Formats: sequence, structure tokens, C-alpha cells
Amino acid sequence: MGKMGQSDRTTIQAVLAGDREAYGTLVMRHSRMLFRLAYRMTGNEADADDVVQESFLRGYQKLATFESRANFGTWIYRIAVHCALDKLQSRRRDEARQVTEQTDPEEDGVQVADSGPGPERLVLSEEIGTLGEQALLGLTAMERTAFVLRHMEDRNTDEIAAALDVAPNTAKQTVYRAVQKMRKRLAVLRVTA
Amino acid sequence: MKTNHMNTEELVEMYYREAAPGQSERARRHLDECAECAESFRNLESDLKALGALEAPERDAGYGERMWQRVAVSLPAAGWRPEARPRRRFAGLWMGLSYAAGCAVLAAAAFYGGTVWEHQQHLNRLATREAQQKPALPQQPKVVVVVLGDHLDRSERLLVELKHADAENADLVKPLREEARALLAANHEFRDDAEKSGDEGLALALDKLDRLLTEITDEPGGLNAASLERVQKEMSSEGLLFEVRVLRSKNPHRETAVRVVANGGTA
Repeated sequence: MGKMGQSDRTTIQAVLAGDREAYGTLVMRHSRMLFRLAYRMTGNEADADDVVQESFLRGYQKLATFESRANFGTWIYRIAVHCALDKLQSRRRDEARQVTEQTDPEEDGVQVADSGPGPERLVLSEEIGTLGEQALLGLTAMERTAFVLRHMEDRNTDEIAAALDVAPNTAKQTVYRAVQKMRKRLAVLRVTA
Repeated sequence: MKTNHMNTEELVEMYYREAAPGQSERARRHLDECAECAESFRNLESDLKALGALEAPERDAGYGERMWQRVAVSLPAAGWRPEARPRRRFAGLWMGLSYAAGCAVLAAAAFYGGTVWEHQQHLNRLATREAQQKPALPQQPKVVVVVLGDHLDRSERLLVELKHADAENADLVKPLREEARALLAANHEFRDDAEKSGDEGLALALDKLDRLLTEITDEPGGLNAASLERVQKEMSSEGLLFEVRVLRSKNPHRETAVRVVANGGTA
């Protein structure tokens, strides 16, 4: 998300003046960025596509509330965070149940030595990554969102707070809770060295 | 500080470089001196690095174009514009002062202005009454050809707009009712056809849609906050938008089923 170029501003003005097709320029320009975020938050392509579509629809409906000095990329990004959050909340229970089943260590039999970032651990990092994706599903929608924004999107606490409409301390605590839960899930895969 | 180990929250803060500069420096020194905390930090670092592997699949340059095609279908009908900027509830002290000054001016002009206003209102009431008493012009009979795919497209757009509608914005809600009324005739026809041809999935979805369109059209006084909320809940509980989307993309007759509809429908 760089600085909003003049062309974004001009395009928004055109849309607000009634040129519906001009909105397509904004969609084409920002779709891939939103898809990356949506995929990280939802974990699957179909849901991510739906989130991107929904975000642009909401963006269109709210475009008149967009502050001209703001950055459209940042603005639509926040809308996408909320859309993805809605999507996660709607499916949270089902996925939480799946995670409980899929990450049962007795069932999977995958164990990772807790010996610091040594060679064995690095070799198995890809496996942990896959299980980490599953562990993500065990977070609440809010925790997952906060974690993705912090950990994968490299957003700081203030940006996360703004995107989620919560106080910075709440955002920080949510990230912390998410990290704790993720580590607990990974811990069941370890054996002490 | 040696005896006060860093807690996990501080370690997480350290990892994400969120600690304040002075605090960060102290924490770094502590990690240099305390083997136990240093090990905890290394473990945390290792776990979090391992978790950072959720990379999104790459989307090609045509993705934006395809997404626009999806979005465009669901945008409000042509002629609509994004909703007007809502009034801010708190716009600053200067606005309050301006308001007070305005009130003072208004109070000074109230006596004279009130008289003029009263007179104008009287004229307006007369004009309104006259307009209401005027017999409505008979509508020209209209016949339109409707393709099922177009009907589903337009229904999907309406459902999306209903889903996000704000009842307090009358300018946006009113056209939804008109659109529902316009879709009703064609919907009846396609539902009856689907029942006759044994296409149960289509018949069921169109029947649900029919109930919803009728409810919106027949709502006395138009959609208000309560009725809109009820309609949105019904849509949500019945999964109607999803069903219409599936039918729009999958129904084999969407491009071939055509009906001629009088006084309404999708042209």
C-alpha cells in the first residue's frame, strides 16, 4: 500500500460523479493486494475471492464517506479486514471443530523436537508451517485477524487497532493471546530433547 | 533484573519490535545476561518464524479484471451512486459555535420568517392535495422479454443491496422496493415454469425469492428499519443470496429460458 496516486483520487471523483465503470480501475488496481490479505485471513482461495468481491462492493457503497486526503489502498484494506472477519466469524465453529480433529497428535503422529532452532527443527519447519495453518483455524476470528495482521502483514499495533476498531491495548492483547494459543497447539507436537 | 525474568508478553513485544525504545534496550541487555530468558526468546522466535509460512497463491495480472467482472454484476443498478456522506455527529467546537450563532439569527428572524413560512406551507398543502386528487394517467401496457440468467443477475444485485441496505437512508431503500416490484412478474413466470418442468432446485429458490419480493413490495408504507431487518434475517436464514448465486452460475437453462412478461420483469 503505497501513497495513493493522483489517479486514485481522480478515479474516485469520477465514480462519485456517476461513472460506475471507473470503479473498475480501482478494483483492478487493488484486487491482488486484497487477495493476499484475504487468503491469509481465510486460508482458502474461494473464500478469499468472496472477501475481495464483498470488500469492493462495500467500498462502492461507502465511497462517498471516503476522505479525499486518505489513502484508498489503506481504506479498502480496512474494509477487507472487516469482510474477512465476518467470513471467519460465520464459519468459526465448523473450522474449530475440524482443527480439533485434524491436529490430534495421536492421530497424526507428527512430533517435533523442542531443541531450539537447530537443523532438525529447520528441516521440519515446512511441516510445522502446514500444521501452523491448521492451528490458525483454532483461533477466534478476532485473534486470527490480529495475528495475521501482526505476523504476516507486518502491521503495528496502532494499525491493527485502527483496522479492527479497537483500542491499541486490546489489539496488543489479542495478538498476544493468539501467539499463546498458536504455540500451545504447536507444543503438543513436541517432545523434549 | 536478573531475578525478574521477562514474561511471555514482553518477549512477544520484543519479537515484534513493539517495545518502547528505552524498554527495548533494557530487554535486550537482559537477554544478553539471562540465559533462561534468552532461551525462551529463541524458542519463541523459532516458533513464530515457523508459523510465518502462509503464503497466498499468486494471482496473475488478469485477476483484477476478472474480479471487476464479478463486482460489476453485483453493483447497484445503473443510475445509482454511492451513498451520500453521512452527517457527522461531532464536528468540533467551531460547528457548535456556528450553530449557536445561527440560532441567534434565526430567533431574531423568527417572527417575520414564521409568518412567511406559514403562508408557504399552506400553499404547499394545497398543491399536494391537488396533485393527489388528480387521476393517475393510465399506464401504457408494457411487454418485455426476460432471460432467466438476466433475471437471476438482477435478483442477485437486489439481494446484495438489501443485505447492506441502511433503512435510514430512504433514497437508497425506496428504489429497492421498486426493483422488487419490477422483478416479481418475471419471477412468477419462471417459478411456474420450473415447477412444471420438474426443476425442483430452481422452483424452490424462486419460490423463496417470490415470498421475499412479495413481502418487500407489499410492506405497508415501504421498508423501514424493522421490516428491513426482518427481510435481512430471512435472507440470511434461508441462504437465498447463495442459492441465487449458484443458480446464476450453474443452472443449465439460464441462457435459454425466456419469458415474455407484461408490465414488469427484466428487460
